[in-house]
Amino acid sequence: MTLSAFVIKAIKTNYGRQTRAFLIASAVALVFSIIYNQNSHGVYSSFMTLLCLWPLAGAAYSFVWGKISGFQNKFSNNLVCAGFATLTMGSMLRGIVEIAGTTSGYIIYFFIVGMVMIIGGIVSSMLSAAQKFSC
Amino acid sequence: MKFRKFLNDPKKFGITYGIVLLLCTTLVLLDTFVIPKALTAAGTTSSSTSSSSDSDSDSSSDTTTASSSTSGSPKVTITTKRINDTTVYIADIQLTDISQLKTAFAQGTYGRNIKETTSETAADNNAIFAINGDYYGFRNSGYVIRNGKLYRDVSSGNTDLAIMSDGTFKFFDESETRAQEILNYGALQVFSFGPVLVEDGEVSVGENAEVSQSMGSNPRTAIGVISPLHYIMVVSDGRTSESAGLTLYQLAQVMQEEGCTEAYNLDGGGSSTMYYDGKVVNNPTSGHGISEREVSDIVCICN
Repeated sequence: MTLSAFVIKAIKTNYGRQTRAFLIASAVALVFSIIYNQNSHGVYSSFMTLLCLWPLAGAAYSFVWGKISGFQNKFSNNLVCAGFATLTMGSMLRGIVEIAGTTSGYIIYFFIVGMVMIIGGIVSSMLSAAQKFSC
Repeated sequence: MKFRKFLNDPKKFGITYGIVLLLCTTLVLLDTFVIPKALTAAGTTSSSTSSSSDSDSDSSSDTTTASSSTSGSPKVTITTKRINDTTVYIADIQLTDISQLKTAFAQGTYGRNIKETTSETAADNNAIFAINGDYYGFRNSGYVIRNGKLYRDVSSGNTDLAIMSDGTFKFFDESETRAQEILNYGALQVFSFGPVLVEDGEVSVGENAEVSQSMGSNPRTAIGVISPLHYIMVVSDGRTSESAGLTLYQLAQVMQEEGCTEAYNLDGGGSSTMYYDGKVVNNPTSGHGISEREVSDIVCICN
């Protein structure tokens, strides 16, 4: 099977739809960061420049996870997706405040909550799969 | 059971979490940029002393737009120059007493997101001349000592400028010196921005130096000392078709050429504003064309 056929097969599944949604979000984030950087008077933030990487990571997760049978779990998947969304918003906020030249003590919580959700979701998915296999 | 169903429903969970996330993001943005918060001062007041005046002279071949002096009052001479495709406003200030150099908070209140234009704050304080300060209220760290009173003692790791009670400038590293120590040394005003532009008469920034992640030429504000009670305050235009703005290195060169032995960069960009005799001298850019941006503090000269 060629790589393109492999990708098309993945996109046809539920996880494929999710992958596509993350890819669209990544494109939106890329456009947003380009426009924001162009209007920031030469001030740059790597969090803003690399904003599209979080949804892209979400797309990669959806693509890979969708291919591993037995690991699909709605609750865990919801948690992981929400985690990537939280990290994206945290990164956007960090970029905005860095470009403005200020700080906020609350942004760190976006990164903590996002990471906890992703790790929690993956662990919960694995535990659920382990339970299925043991039955 | 209902909650479990909700957690397993991608649509319901996604929409609810999306709304919560959007609300949190909005709250953070409002807290950072909009909601004003008056804060209490962190510490004590220093016992300041005034020193005698000096009488350095200055001459320039460029346009002198304004000058004022009466017996015992500050002498302010503003000269406009074109440097690197940028209009630069240079104020030569000679005081008779250090108490004539003051700082003021927007709306007379120390706090976060409490803002006012430089000209409004200057008018509120009957200042004859003013420039924007270090915009302390936009950050949660960096020492704030104003008019001999300690307001914030949270270190940001910056190198600070201290205007001492004898009219001299001293630089302090926040990671090495506590705010209370700087106050005890006799600092009247402490600014936490930077970098140091000129030290011991030498330019102390590299050609590619910049503030944070900022790049290229920008409107700038700087303050320097020629000798005690004789100061240079510079504001440059920028971000307009008439003026590109200055790099930190170019700004440092301007301060050095004006004879400063010590000079320090204050908040620039849209904040850069010079006010004199009831009017804004430069062309500040607030993001909405030529207009003043609201800032949290000013450096001013009062009678």
